[in-house]
Amino acid sequence: MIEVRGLTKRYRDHVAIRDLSFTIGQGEIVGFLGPNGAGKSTTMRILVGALPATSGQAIIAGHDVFEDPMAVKRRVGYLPEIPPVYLDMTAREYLTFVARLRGVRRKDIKAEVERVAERAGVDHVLPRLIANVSKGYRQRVGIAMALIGSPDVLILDEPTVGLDPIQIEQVRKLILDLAATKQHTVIVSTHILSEVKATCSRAIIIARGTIAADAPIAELEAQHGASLETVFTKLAAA
Amino acid sequence: MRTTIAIVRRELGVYLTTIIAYCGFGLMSFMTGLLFVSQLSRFQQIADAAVARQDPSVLERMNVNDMILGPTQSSQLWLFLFFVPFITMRLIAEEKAQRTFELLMSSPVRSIEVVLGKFFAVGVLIGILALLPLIYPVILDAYGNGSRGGGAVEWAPVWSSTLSVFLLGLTYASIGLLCSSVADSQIVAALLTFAVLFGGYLLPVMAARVEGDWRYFLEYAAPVTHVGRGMEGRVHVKDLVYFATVILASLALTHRVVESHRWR
Repeated sequence: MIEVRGLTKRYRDHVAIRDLSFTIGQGEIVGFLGPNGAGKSTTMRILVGALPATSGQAIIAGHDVFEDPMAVKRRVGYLPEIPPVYLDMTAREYLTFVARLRGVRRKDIKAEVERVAERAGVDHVLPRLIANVSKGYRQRVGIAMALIGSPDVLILDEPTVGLDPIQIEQVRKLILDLAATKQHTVIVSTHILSEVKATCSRAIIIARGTIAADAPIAELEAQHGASLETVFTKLAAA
Repeated sequence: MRTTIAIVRRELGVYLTTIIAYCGFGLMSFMTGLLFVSQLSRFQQIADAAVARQDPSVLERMNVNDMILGPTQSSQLWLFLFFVPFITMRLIAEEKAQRTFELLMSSPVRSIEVVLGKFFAVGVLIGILALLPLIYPVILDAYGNGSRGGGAVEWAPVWSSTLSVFLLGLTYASIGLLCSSVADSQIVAALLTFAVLFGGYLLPVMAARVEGDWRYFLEYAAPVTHVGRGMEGRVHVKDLVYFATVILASLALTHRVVESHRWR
């Protein structure tokens, strides 16, 4: 579903990511793990076509991100680190707007908005201005936005940052529910380890722009003979 | 195309559900209304004086188009100079500051659709602002009589003035959109737009101080030159070409700037 080969991104002299390669299969839930500034967001932004790579190739659902970005964008739901919500719109207006942008057919828009709102648990805040809802709800409106049009691939950049423990639990449950349907391939980036354990089957640990480890979580723990915390600290520091 | 309409609807929604658009409508009505009333009473005084002196030649030369409607509509030019930077400043700068630009960048939307959507939305506002003062010729036409019968208003120059004002507003809006795409904050965008527009306003002053080709060039570059002819009731192709050129150039540059965010 996702194939990345030799992806490199340079900002002038600074190398954000160096020669990343990995493959993610249909229906997999992968945790993208790394300390702050490791290059997680950069990689995700490249995958959704919001940022070009300096070199390398990324293919999502059979389409090259650089050759055919429109086809990729139609198949990918992306939630950036800061949810890109318009504070001056109600949640319903916002989701309707995104549905129009993503080319949902006119007669299906209303039903689609209701569907994603229910899925993300924001159906009761639909009539409220996004400026007036809590941070947790803003985040979840962002998740609902990413779900619009049932994209094959979901890319969530730190979806639980700033949420309270109950909301974190809800978001994790949501990701697990999505995983259970096997329709979506999901990449979740985070620097919270328990999150990866709770939701993902596989972890890609990224440190200073390169992949430090890429394996199922159980395997990682077995290999290094320690808990994921220790593995992470060891690999990130190495 | 559908995404362009979606963006137009969103932008118009912002203008019409907040105070911004209504400030513009209110200011425009107030300013033009003030001028209309004062020009109308001046017109009456001159007419009364001419009647008292029994001087029909003055009365024959007086017409409401030149003496009332012209000054009223030309006040719109000033208003656009101050108001357009306010409405265009948020267009792209705000998206960047609020991080919602990321949504547009990662949605299946082409940059040109974003640029056109935003431009058309402001275009609708400018259109309403340009049409508001049409109430005055309607009033004059309803209550006044022409010297040779019929209404008091000659409509052709009214239409050409309205068209000129509209085109000038669109030109200013395209420049404002470009400034908003370059700037990272709304204040900077507004100041930049105002600086550029005010510079354009000063061009005729500069033109008066130089000779030859430069003079011709500066005069041609000044928006006021092109509006002026329209205000007098003359629609020249060269003026239309001027407005179209500035608008298309600004939109093309804005498109490049928006596109550049994809490879920065």
